[in-house]
Amino acid sequence: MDEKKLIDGLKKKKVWAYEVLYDDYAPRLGSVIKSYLGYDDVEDVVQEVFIKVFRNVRKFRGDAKLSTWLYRIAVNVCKDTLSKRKRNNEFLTDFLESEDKVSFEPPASTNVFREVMDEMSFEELMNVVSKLSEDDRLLIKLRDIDDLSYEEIADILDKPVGTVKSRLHYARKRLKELLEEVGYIG
Amino acid sequence: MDNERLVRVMDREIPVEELRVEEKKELKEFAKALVMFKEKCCYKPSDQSRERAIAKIKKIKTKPYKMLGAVAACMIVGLFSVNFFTNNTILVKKKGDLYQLANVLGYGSGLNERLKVNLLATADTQNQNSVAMMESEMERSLGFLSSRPEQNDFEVSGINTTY
Repeated sequence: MDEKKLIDGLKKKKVWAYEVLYDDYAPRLGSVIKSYLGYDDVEDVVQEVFIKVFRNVRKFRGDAKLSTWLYRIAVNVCKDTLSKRKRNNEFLTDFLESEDKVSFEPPASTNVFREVMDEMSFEELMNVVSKLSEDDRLLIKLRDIDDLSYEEIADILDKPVGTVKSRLHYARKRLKELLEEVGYIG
Repeated sequence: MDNERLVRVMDREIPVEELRVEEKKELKEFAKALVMFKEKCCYKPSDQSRERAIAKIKKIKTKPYKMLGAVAACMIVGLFSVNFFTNNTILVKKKGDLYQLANVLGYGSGLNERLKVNLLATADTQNQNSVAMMESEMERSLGFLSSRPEQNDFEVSGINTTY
Protein backbone atom coordinates (compact mmCIF):
# COMPACT_ATOMS: atom_id res chain seq x y z
CA MET A 1 0.00 0.00 0.00
CA ASP A 2 1.05 3.57 -0.70
CA GLU A 3 2.78 4.93 2.40
CA LYS A 4 1.20 8.37 2.04
CA LYS A 5 -2.27 6.90 1.96
CA LEU A 6 -1.43 4.76 4.97
CA ILE A 7 -0.15 7.76 6.95
CA ASP A 8 -3.27 9.69 6.01
CA GLY A 9 -5.42 6.82 7.28
CA LEU A 10 -3.40 6.63 10.48
CA LYS A 11 -3.80 10.35 11.11
CA LYS A 12 -7.54 10.06 10.55
CA LYS A 13 -7.53 7.20 13.07
CA LYS A 14 -8.99 4.74 10.60
CA VAL A 15 -9.03 1.20 11.93
CA TRP A 16 -8.13 -0.30 8.53
CA ALA A 17 -4.91 1.76 8.53
CA TYR A 18 -3.90 0.30 11.90
CA GLU A 19 -4.67 -3.18 10.65
CA VAL A 20 -2.44 -2.64 7.63
CA LEU A 21 0.25 -1.11 9.81
CA TYR A 22 0.14 -4.06 12.19
CA ASP A 23 0.38 -6.58 9.39
CA ASP A 24 3.29 -4.76 7.75
CA TYR A 25 5.34 -3.69 10.73
CA ALA A 26 4.50 -5.87 13.76
CA PRO A 27 6.96 -8.66 12.77
CA ARG A 28 9.79 -6.18 12.17
CA LEU A 29 9.13 -4.17 15.30
CA GLY A 30 8.66 -7.30 17.39
CA SER A 31 11.98 -8.59 16.16
CA VAL A 32 13.75 -5.35 17.13
CA ILE A 33 12.05 -5.42 20.53
CA LYS A 34 13.10 -9.03 21.08
CA SER A 35 16.69 -8.26 20.22
CA TYR A 36 16.75 -5.26 22.54
CA LEU A 37 14.96 -6.71 25.54
CA GLY A 38 16.50 -10.15 25.19
CA TYR A 39 13.39 -12.17 25.97
CA ASP A 40 10.60 -13.75 23.99
CA ASP A 41 7.42 -12.45 25.56
CA VAL A 42 7.21 -9.14 23.74
CA GLU A 43 3.55 -9.14 22.78
CA ASP A 44 2.58 -6.48 25.32
CA VAL A 45 5.47 -4.26 24.27
CA VAL A 46 4.48 -4.52 20.62
CA GLN A 47 0.93 -3.59 21.58
CA GLU A 48 2.23 -0.64 23.58
CA VAL A 49 4.15 0.55 20.51
CA PHE A 50 0.98 0.54 18.40
CA ILE A 51 -0.94 2.40 21.08
CA LYS A 52 1.81 5.03 21.15
CA VAL A 53 1.62 5.29 17.38
CA PHE A 54 -2.15 5.78 17.63
CA ARG A 55 -1.76 8.53 20.22
CA ASN A 56 1.13 10.36 18.58
CA VAL A 57 0.61 9.89 14.87
CA ARG A 58 -0.46 13.51 14.42
CA LYS A 59 3.04 14.54 15.52
CA PHE A 60 4.57 12.62 12.64
CA ARG A 61 5.58 15.29 10.15
CA GLY A 62 6.92 12.97 7.50
CA ASP A 63 10.54 14.23 7.72
CA ALA A 64 11.77 10.68 8.23
CA LYS A 65 10.49 7.43 6.81
CA LEU A 66 7.51 5.90 8.58
CA SER A 67 9.57 2.81 9.40
CA THR A 68 12.28 4.96 11.02
CA TRP A 69 9.67 6.72 13.15
CA LEU A 70 8.14 3.39 14.16
CA TYR A 71 11.54 1.95 15.08
CA ARG A 72 12.24 5.03 17.19
CA ILE A 73 8.98 4.57 19.09
CA ALA A 74 9.75 0.88 19.57
CA VAL A 75 13.21 1.65 20.97
CA ASN A 76 11.79 4.27 23.34
CA VAL A 77 9.10 1.89 24.56
CA CYS A 78 11.79 -0.76 25.12
CA LYS A 79 13.86 1.67 27.17
CA ASP A 80 10.81 2.60 29.23
CA THR A 81 9.94 -1.05 29.76
CA LEU A 82 13.46 -1.91 30.86
CA SER A 83 13.73 0.98 33.29
CA LYS A 84 10.26 0.18 34.66
CA ARG A 85 11.21 -3.43 35.21
CA LYS A 86 14.51 -2.53 36.76
CA ARG A 87 12.72 -0.14 39.09
CA ASN A 88 10.32 -2.87 40.11
CA ASN A 89 13.23 -5.31 40.48
CA GLU A 90 11.51 -7.71 38.18
CA PHE A 91 13.33 -10.79 37.11
CA LEU A 92 14.41 -10.37 33.54
CA THR A 93 14.55 -13.55 31.59
CA ASP A 94 17.43 -13.57 29.23
CA PHE A 95 17.90 -15.60 26.11
CA LEU A 96 18.89 -18.66 28.07
CA GLU A 97 16.14 -18.41 30.65
CA SER A 98 13.21 -17.62 28.43
CA GLU A 99 9.85 -18.92 29.58
CA ASP A 100 9.12 -21.01 26.54
CA LYS A 101 11.90 -23.51 26.95
CA VAL A 102 9.80 -26.18 25.35
CA SER A 103 9.94 -24.39 22.03
CA PHE A 104 13.52 -23.35 22.54
CA GLU A 105 14.58 -24.10 19.04
CA PRO A 106 13.12 -21.45 16.73
CA PRO A 107 11.59 -22.42 13.43
CA ALA A 108 14.58 -23.06 11.20
CA SER A 109 13.84 -21.35 7.96
CA THR A 110 17.25 -21.42 6.35
CA ASN A 111 19.75 -24.11 5.52
CA VAL A 112 22.51 -21.98 6.99
CA PHE A 113 20.74 -22.04 10.30
CA ARG A 114 20.48 -25.84 10.35
CA GLU A 115 24.15 -26.03 9.37
CA VAL A 116 25.11 -23.71 12.23
CA MET A 117 23.11 -25.74 14.69
CA ASP A 118 25.42 -28.65 14.04
CA GLU A 119 28.55 -26.70 14.82
CA MET A 120 27.45 -24.71 17.79
CA SER A 121 24.38 -25.14 19.87
CA PHE A 122 21.77 -22.46 19.67
CA GLU A 123 21.87 -22.24 23.44
CA GLU A 124 25.59 -21.50 23.46
CA LEU A 125 25.25 -18.75 20.93
CA MET A 126 22.37 -17.15 22.78
CA ASN A 127 24.51 -17.24 25.87
CA VAL A 128 27.13 -15.29 23.97
CA VAL A 129 24.63 -12.82 22.57
CA SER A 130 23.05 -12.25 25.96
CA LYS A 131 26.43 -11.01 27.20
CA LEU A 132 26.19 -8.06 24.85
CA SER A 133 24.50 -4.95 26.16
CA GLU A 134 20.99 -4.03 24.96
CA ASP A 135 22.37 -1.19 22.85
CA ASP A 136 25.00 -3.43 21.26
CA ARG A 137 22.41 -6.03 20.36
CA LEU A 138 20.16 -3.35 18.91
CA LEU A 139 22.93 -1.85 16.79
CA ILE A 140 23.94 -5.22 15.39
CA LYS A 141 20.32 -6.07 14.72
CA LEU A 142 19.59 -2.82 12.91
CA ARG A 143 22.77 -2.68 10.87
CA ASP A 144 23.92 -6.24 10.24
CA ILE A 145 20.56 -8.02 10.23
CA ASP A 146 17.98 -5.45 9.09
CA ASP A 147 20.57 -3.72 6.89
CA LEU A 148 19.57 -0.17 7.79
CA SER A 149 21.85 2.70 6.85
CA TYR A 150 23.92 4.54 9.44
CA GLU A 151 21.76 7.62 8.87
CA GLU A 152 18.57 5.71 9.59
CA ILE A 153 20.05 4.17 12.73
CA ALA A 154 21.22 7.61 13.85
CA ASP A 155 17.68 8.88 13.31
CA ILE A 156 16.17 6.01 15.26
CA LEU A 157 18.55 6.36 18.19
CA ASP A 158 18.63 10.16 17.98
CA LYS A 159 22.44 10.11 17.97
CA PRO A 160 25.00 11.50 15.52
CA VAL A 161 26.13 9.20 12.73
CA GLY A 162 29.71 9.22 14.07
CA THR A 163 28.55 8.00 17.46
CA VAL A 164 26.53 5.22 15.86
CA LYS A 165 29.54 4.13 13.80
CA SER A 166 31.89 4.00 16.75
CA ARG A 167 29.35 2.20 18.93
CA LEU A 168 28.65 -0.36 16.25
CA HIS A 169 32.38 -0.86 15.81
CA TYR A 170 32.63 -1.60 19.51
CA ALA A 171 29.57 -3.89 19.44
CA ARG A 172 30.96 -5.99 16.55
CA LYS A 173 34.34 -6.17 18.24
CA ARG A 174 32.70 -7.30 21.48
CA LEU A 175 30.66 -9.97 19.66
CA LYS A 176 33.75 -11.22 17.85
CA GLU A 177 35.68 -11.44 21.14
CA LEU A 178 32.86 -13.35 22.80
CA LEU A 179 32.69 -15.79 19.89
CA GLU A 180 36.45 -16.26 20.10
CA GLU A 181 36.17 -16.91 23.83
CA VAL A 182 33.85 -19.87 23.25
CA GLY A 183 36.06 -21.07 20.43
CA TYR A 184 33.52 -20.46 17.70
CA ILE A 185 35.91 -18.21 15.79
CA GLY A 186 39.51 -19.25 15.61
CA MET B 1 41.12 -10.84 10.89
CA ASP B 2 41.48 -7.73 12.98
CA ASN B 3 38.43 -5.81 14.15
CA GLU B 4 39.04 -2.85 11.88
CA ARG B 5 39.04 -5.09 8.83
CA LEU B 6 35.97 -7.00 10.00
CA VAL B 7 34.02 -3.73 10.39
CA ARG B 8 35.06 -2.61 6.90
CA VAL B 9 34.05 -5.93 5.40
CA MET B 10 30.72 -5.83 7.21
CA ASP B 11 30.13 -2.33 5.86
CA ARG B 12 31.00 -3.63 2.38
CA GLU B 13 33.94 -1.28 2.10
CA ILE B 14 36.18 -4.25 1.37
CA PRO B 15 34.78 -6.81 -1.09
CA VAL B 16 34.68 -10.40 0.19
CA GLU B 17 36.66 -11.50 -2.85
CA GLU B 18 39.68 -9.59 -1.59
CA LEU B 19 39.80 -11.55 1.67
CA ARG B 20 42.24 -14.35 2.31
CA VAL B 21 40.89 -17.89 2.69
CA GLU B 22 41.16 -17.97 6.49
CA GLU B 23 39.58 -14.53 6.66
CA LYS B 24 36.70 -15.72 4.51
CA LYS B 25 36.21 -18.68 6.86
CA GLU B 26 36.22 -16.42 9.86
CA LEU B 27 33.74 -14.05 8.23
CA LYS B 28 31.50 -16.96 7.33
CA GLU B 29 31.42 -18.07 10.96
CA PHE B 30 30.67 -14.58 12.11
CA ALA B 31 27.84 -14.33 9.58
CA LYS B 32 26.44 -17.66 10.76
CA ALA B 33 26.33 -16.34 14.30
CA LEU B 34 24.39 -13.36 13.02
CA VAL B 35 21.96 -15.67 11.23
CA MET B 36 21.35 -17.50 14.48
CA PHE B 37 20.79 -14.21 16.22
CA LYS B 38 18.35 -13.26 13.48
CA GLU B 39 16.46 -16.53 13.92
CA LYS B 40 16.28 -15.96 17.64
CA CYS B 41 14.87 -12.47 17.18
CA CYS B 42 12.31 -13.60 14.63
CA TYR B 43 8.83 -12.52 15.69
CA LYS B 44 5.59 -13.74 14.16
CA PRO B 45 2.56 -12.25 15.86
CA SER B 46 -0.41 -14.56 16.26
CA ASP B 47 -3.91 -13.67 15.04
CA GLN B 48 -4.92 -13.39 18.67
CA SER B 49 -2.23 -10.76 19.32
CA ARG B 50 -3.35 -8.85 16.27
CA GLU B 51 -6.99 -8.90 17.35
CA ARG B 52 -6.04 -7.80 20.85
CA ALA B 53 -3.95 -4.89 19.60
CA ILE B 54 -6.64 -3.71 17.18
CA ALA B 55 -9.35 -4.08 19.84
CA LYS B 56 -7.27 -1.96 22.21
CA ILE B 57 -6.89 0.74 19.56
CA LYS B 58 -10.64 0.69 18.88
CA LYS B 59 -11.29 1.01 22.60
CA ILE B 60 -9.01 4.04 22.88
CA LYS B 61 -10.62 5.51 19.78
CA THR B 62 -14.16 5.31 21.21
CA LYS B 63 -13.19 6.34 24.74
CA PRO B 64 -13.68 10.13 24.26
CA TYR B 65 -17.14 9.54 22.76
CA LYS B 66 -18.09 7.30 25.67
CA MET B 67 -16.91 9.92 28.14
CA LEU B 68 -18.84 12.59 26.28
CA GLY B 69 -21.97 10.43 26.42
CA ALA B 70 -21.54 9.89 30.15
CA VAL B 71 -21.10 13.63 30.79
CA ALA B 72 -24.19 14.40 28.67
CA ALA B 73 -26.21 11.80 30.59
CA CYS B 74 -25.08 13.28 33.92
CA MET B 75 -26.05 16.76 32.76
CA ILE B 76 -29.50 15.62 31.66
CA VAL B 77 -30.10 13.88 35.00
CA GLY B 78 -28.86 16.99 36.85
CA LEU B 79 -31.09 19.34 34.89
CA PHE B 80 -34.07 17.02 35.37
CA SER B 81 -33.43 16.87 39.12
CA VAL B 82 -33.15 20.65 39.46
CA ASN B 83 -36.30 21.10 37.40
CA PHE B 84 -38.16 18.49 39.46
CA PHE B 85 -37.24 19.98 42.84
CA THR B 86 -37.92 23.51 41.65
CA ASN B 87 -41.43 22.78 40.40
CA ASN B 88 -42.53 20.35 43.11
CA THR B 89 -42.83 21.23 46.82
CA ILE B 90 -43.46 18.68 49.48
CA LEU B 91 -45.91 19.89 52.17
CA VAL B 92 -44.83 18.95 55.65
CA LYS B 93 -47.46 19.32 58.35
CA LYS B 94 -46.17 21.08 61.38
CA LYS B 95 -46.97 19.05 64.47
CA GLY B 96 -45.20 21.15 67.04
CA ASP B 97 -48.20 23.31 67.96
CA LEU B 98 -50.40 20.36 68.84
CA TYR B 99 -47.86 18.81 71.17
CA GLN B 100 -47.10 22.17 72.74
CA LEU B 101 -50.75 22.61 73.60
CA ALA B 102 -50.99 19.05 74.87
CA ASN B 103 -48.16 19.78 77.28
CA VAL B 104 -49.97 22.87 78.51
CA LEU B 105 -53.05 20.80 79.22
CA GLY B 106 -51.08 18.03 80.96
CA TYR B 107 -51.39 15.41 78.23
CA GLY B 108 -47.86 15.62 77.08
CA SER B 109 -47.26 11.94 76.64
CA GLY B 110 -48.99 10.14 73.79
CA LEU B 111 -51.90 12.28 72.81
CA ASN B 112 -52.92 9.89 70.06
CA GLU B 113 -52.69 6.88 72.35
CA ARG B 114 -54.89 8.60 74.83
CA LEU B 115 -57.45 9.27 72.14
CA LYS B 116 -57.46 5.63 71.10
CA VAL B 117 -57.86 4.40 74.67
CA ASN B 118 -60.69 6.75 75.28
CA LEU B 119 -62.53 5.80 72.11
CA LEU B 120 -62.44 2.14 73.12
CA ALA B 121 -63.70 2.86 76.58
CA THR B 122 -67.16 1.71 77.84
CA ALA B 123 -70.18 3.91 78.46
CA ASP B 124 -69.57 4.21 82.19
CA THR B 125 -66.39 6.04 81.52
CA GLN B 126 -68.13 9.05 80.07
CA ASN B 127 -65.92 11.41 81.94
CA GLN B 128 -62.93 10.04 80.19
CA ASN B 129 -64.69 10.10 76.85
CA SER B 130 -65.55 13.68 77.34
CA VAL B 131 -61.88 14.39 77.83
CA ALA B 132 -61.20 12.50 74.63
CA MET B 133 -63.77 14.50 72.76
CA MET B 134 -62.25 17.63 74.12
CA GLU B 135 -58.82 16.59 72.91
CA SER B 136 -60.24 15.68 69.51
CA GLU B 137 -61.83 19.06 69.22
CA MET B 138 -58.58 20.72 70.22
CA GLU B 139 -56.70 18.79 67.59
CA ARG B 140 -59.20 19.86 64.91
CA SER B 141 -58.86 23.46 66.00
CA LEU B 142 -55.09 23.27 66.10
CA GLY B 143 -55.04 21.85 62.59
CA PHE B 144 -56.68 25.02 61.52
CA LEU B 145 -54.46 27.13 63.75
CA SER B 146 -51.22 25.58 62.60
CA SER B 147 -51.60 27.20 59.21
CA ARG B 148 -51.91 30.60 60.86
CA PRO B 149 -49.46 30.62 63.76
CA GLU B 150 -50.01 34.28 64.60
CA GLN B 151 -53.54 33.46 65.79
CA ASN B 152 -52.58 30.48 67.93
CA ASP B 153 -52.57 32.31 71.24
CA PHE B 154 -56.00 33.75 70.69
CA GLU B 155 -57.55 30.41 69.69
CA VAL B 156 -55.91 28.47 72.49
CA SER B 157 -57.16 30.90 75.07
CA GLY B 158 -60.59 30.67 73.45
CA ILE B 159 -60.63 26.91 73.84
CA ASN B 160 -59.60 27.17 77.45
CA THR B 161 -62.40 29.63 78.11
CA THR B 162 -65.06 27.43 76.48
CA TYR B 163 -64.24 24.35 78.47
